[in-house]
Amino acid sequence: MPHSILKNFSIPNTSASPARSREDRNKETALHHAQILQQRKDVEALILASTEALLELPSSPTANPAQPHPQDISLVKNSLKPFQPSDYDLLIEERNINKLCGYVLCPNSNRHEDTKAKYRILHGKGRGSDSLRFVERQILERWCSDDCGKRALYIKVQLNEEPAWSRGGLSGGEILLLDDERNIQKQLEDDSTLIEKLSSLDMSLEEDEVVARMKALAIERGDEKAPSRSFGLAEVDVRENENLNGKASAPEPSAKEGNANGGFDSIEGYTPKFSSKKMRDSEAGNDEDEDEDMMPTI
Amino acid sequence: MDNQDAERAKIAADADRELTRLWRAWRTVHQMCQDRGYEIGEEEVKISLDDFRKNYTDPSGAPDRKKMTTSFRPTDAMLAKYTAIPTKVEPDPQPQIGTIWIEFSSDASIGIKQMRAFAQHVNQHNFHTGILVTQASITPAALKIIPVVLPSIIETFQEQDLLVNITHHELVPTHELLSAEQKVELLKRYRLKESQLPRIQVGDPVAKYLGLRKGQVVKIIRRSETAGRYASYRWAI
Ligand SMILES: [Zn+2]
Repeated sequence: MPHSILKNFSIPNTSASPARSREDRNKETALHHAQILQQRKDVEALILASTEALLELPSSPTANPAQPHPQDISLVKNSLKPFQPSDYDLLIEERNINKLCGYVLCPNSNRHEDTKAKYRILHGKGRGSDSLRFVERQILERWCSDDCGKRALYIKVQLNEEPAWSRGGLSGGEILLLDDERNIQKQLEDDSTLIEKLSSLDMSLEEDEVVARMKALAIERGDEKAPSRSFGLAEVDVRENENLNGKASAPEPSAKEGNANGGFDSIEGYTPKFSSKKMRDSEAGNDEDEDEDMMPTI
Repeated sequence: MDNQDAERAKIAADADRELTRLWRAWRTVHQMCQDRGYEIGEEEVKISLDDFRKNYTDPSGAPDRKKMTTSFRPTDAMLAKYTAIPTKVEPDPQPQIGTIWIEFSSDASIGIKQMRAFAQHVNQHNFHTGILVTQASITPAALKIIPVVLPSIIETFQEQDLLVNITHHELVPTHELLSAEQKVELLKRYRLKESQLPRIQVGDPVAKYLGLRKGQVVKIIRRSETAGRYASYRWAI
């Protein structure tokens, strides 16, 4: 009997509530969408304002891009947090229009090639046609130097591809600069996903000897007592990050988006393929190998 | 010596080609403003290439975009067209149109900074509308500034889009902006809501030419051998 009472009680309730709750739900949905739209507008306005502010950096015309002023550094790190890689590309474009190096902390003019040809041929290591590289002039002209191109890309791969209004409150980690003191150590200690990114970065930049440069940096900054220790993954004490948020908020950079924008991701004509974890695992065992050994996995 | 002369001749020819292009764009902008209803003398619209050369070149004979600026006031008819119908709440509505400023940009590329500078000029001089004619496309970030500088209205055109006047093409029917009053009359006559009319995007080339704003209605007049002239209407969105 209590069973049927309960049933009886619930009948009028269910017949009345769907109509009302549907209305409520519709209202809620509309409100929710309005809020998202507003958040989106706010973020876009913020990014536009930040882009304008970052056009004025560095604060000193004699600043050294390798050793920027701490105030400029923190402005860059804070301003870029809501940026997606595509927003960052637009910032570089704007800086170039103002005849500035695309790297936000560099006061130099961007390179200007004395040609209108679409490609330039650069001679790389080695001899013969294998060493020739075709480089899009437009890409060369984004920076004052190859170093700044690397610095700028180093930031880009750390940017969240998820729009800031849909990141669900995840603030993400601090953006690191290639020239940051301790930055490599910090990455290794703090966040295993960054190692992954770093290895993709290695893959993408090996032609430019950034791997070697990073090895040198790791030795120099992290472990002077054991100079033979290379910048490698095997020695890294990777602690599982208990806070999974960090992991979720840092997706791997994709090469696609950059290509659509005229091949930003390609480094001097070479387009990196950002790999899955699989690739990283396969190379984790032979971290001391030379660049050439990485090639077949691309 | 011969080489030098040839080089010099080539530069002069390039400058002349550039000048002709700009003259055509300049004329189209003037026709456009006249068609919108601004006050412009016929001799300004029909400026000859020679007169244009005299006024808008630097001492070397190359076109000088910095000189290519002008402004026009709306005619009374245009003011009336842009004035809403008086209501009890708003018994004396002001025309939503005013002086227009036109500038050919000498910057090769237009980014945020260049756009800001243009917007500032328009604001400072209280121009109602500013038209920036650019040599190349404008960066996406700079375009985002345009809605931010309201109440000033900023419109942009690329030089290459003004080399011919699209409304002079025989296949493009006449588009005519309805006044607020005409719009109300039309809707009343056909017992329509504006949203029931066919639409025209404000980004449509002819809509851009006329500077159509969202909510306005244009009358489109076509000629047909069988039906003579017939009109249709579009609601700008
Ligand atoms: Zn630089």
